[in-house]
Amino acid sequence: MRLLPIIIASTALALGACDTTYDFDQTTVGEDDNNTGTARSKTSSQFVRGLFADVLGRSPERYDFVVTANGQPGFNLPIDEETFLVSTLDGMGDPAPLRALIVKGIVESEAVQLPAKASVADPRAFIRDQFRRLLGREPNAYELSAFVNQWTTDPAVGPKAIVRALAGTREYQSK
Amino acid sequence: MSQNRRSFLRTGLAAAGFAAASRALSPLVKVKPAWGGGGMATRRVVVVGIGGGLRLRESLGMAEGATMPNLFGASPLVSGFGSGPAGAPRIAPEYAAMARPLILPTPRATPLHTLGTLVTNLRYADGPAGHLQGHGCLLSGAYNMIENRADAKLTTPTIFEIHRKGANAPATDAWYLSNPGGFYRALLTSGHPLYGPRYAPTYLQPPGVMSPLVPIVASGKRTLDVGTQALPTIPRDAAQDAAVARLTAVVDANTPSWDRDDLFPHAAVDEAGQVQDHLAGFFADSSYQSYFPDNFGIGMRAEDNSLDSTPDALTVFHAERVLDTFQPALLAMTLLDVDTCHQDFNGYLRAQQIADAAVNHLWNFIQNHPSLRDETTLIVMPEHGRHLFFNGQNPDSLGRSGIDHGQGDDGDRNTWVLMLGPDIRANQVIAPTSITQTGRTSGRYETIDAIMTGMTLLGHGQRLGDDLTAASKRPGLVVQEVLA
Repeated sequence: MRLLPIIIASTALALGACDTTYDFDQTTVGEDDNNTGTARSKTSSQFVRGLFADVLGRSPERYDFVVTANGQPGFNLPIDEETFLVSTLDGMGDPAPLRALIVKGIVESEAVQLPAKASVADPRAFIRDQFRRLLGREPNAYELSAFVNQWTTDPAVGPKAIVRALAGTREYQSK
Repeated sequence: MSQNRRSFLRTGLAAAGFAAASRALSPLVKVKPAWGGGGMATRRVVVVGIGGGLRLRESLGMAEGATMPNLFGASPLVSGFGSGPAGAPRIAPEYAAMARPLILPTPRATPLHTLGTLVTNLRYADGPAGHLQGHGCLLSGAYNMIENRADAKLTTPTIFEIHRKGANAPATDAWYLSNPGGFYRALLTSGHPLYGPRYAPTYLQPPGVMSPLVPIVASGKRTLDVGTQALPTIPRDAAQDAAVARLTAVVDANTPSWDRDDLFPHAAVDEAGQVQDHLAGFFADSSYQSYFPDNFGIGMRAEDNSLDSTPDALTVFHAERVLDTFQPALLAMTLLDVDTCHQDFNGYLRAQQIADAAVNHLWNFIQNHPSLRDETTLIVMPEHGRHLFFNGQNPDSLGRSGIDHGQGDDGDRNTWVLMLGPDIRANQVIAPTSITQTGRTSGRYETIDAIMTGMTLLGHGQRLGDDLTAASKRPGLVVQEVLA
């Protein structure tokens, strides 16, 4: 989670209180002193490992993809999930479009047990839970209101869309 | 197993460039018009860089047979190699017995060079004859000494940066497709202080990205019965995609923007969305034909007689898809299959055949596309050549072996360029020897001139020249003889 710079501008507070004002340097919390306040991308490896942990609840694994044909043996294909996905993402300049598609593929997979929209009794709680799970923080009032409003008014907005949207944010994609 | 399904899967997986797979399986554009004006018809330039090192001797000289008949016909186009038909490529018999046959269309009756201008004595005059330096020259119009690292930077702007900045063009209006990945991404943007990642092209490495393994791995499936089960896909859902974009924008509005020196270039949200939609079409295809369809007709024959791609063929196929979808003003691509010549001379000859057929396919595609055919200039050229001598690797029964590149002999530096398009003079083979410019010692046209000519057709010649001059680099000349 990124903590934005806190700027203490004393003058506004001071105007109504007394005639003495103070100027303070910009202060940051939770970041290096030389941080410029801009976002820096996760590497492809960081993104893949984080996505697997957050959405699948596990680390990337190595396994044999077993192909058969009408029950007859075909072939085994060794898969290293992290190595493959990282090398694939490195085949793009801006990886965002491909990251989004990988997220979509994972969210649509049987391994992700997201509830059907109709079975979510409390969308507000679901959305807050996904913010905590993916961004490590509560949604602010504006975000929560906007997400709940979209959930209510747009049939396309459900659990999958919420997870995809949060995983696609600059906040999630950055360190 | 269904033949087709088996073929889809094997072809797609083998094309992935994924080592494990190989082992296992054997505009919405707010663009200022950028073109040169003055009666020029060119609105788009496509640069095909035959990377990896291609010698004049085998290509135009046809000393080992006519390896590029679509581009150059069947008789040598440079002196010293005879004048009659060169015959079929000379593949060593022991190699032919082992190698998978190529699938190639019948060569065109009239070679492409008769439709445009061929400069047969181009000179890659300066800089190392190495991959990144050679392609760095093709993508910047400047000889350079860029290091072979993914984080290296050219000191002068790339043609993508110049176009995007000069034309106020989105990332989807400038594309770079590359057979190899790795350090080739260093060529997207320069370290020039007035340019940089915000003017990066859209970069795609088809052999690394365009693979059915993407939906397979994303699906989490670990078994698949291709006789009874659907092949994994990433389904498309336009309504959900739109909703996701809206929700993401809500959070992004409260998030700092990307650092200008970030690890990756970042396209604008709408441009990235267009690229995502383009890619989604491939990953949603349950037949797996979209990645590299049989009807492309260029590649290697699989055991079941279906078509397997080569990295170059796959790259050209996806360049055509990009041209179809985005119709960018500038698209450059790097082919590399010929670089197998370090260890495999026969493979080098075969890779020339693939590159030749693929370039012809590309030209035909452009000519059959109503939005491209009258406005697109195609520039085809090797990044550099190879040494004049064999290196002794894997000698064959015809007395040939591998050939390296990089020492800068005439084999490395003598090359060619073929230009085709609405502003290019047809049916012209030239080899001027009295070209003068301060600092030019060859008397010939050079690699940098081909790029200057293409950028001039796009309307960026002055800017390219000014930027290079300011950086104390010798700018290329416009090859006036090619202009109709």
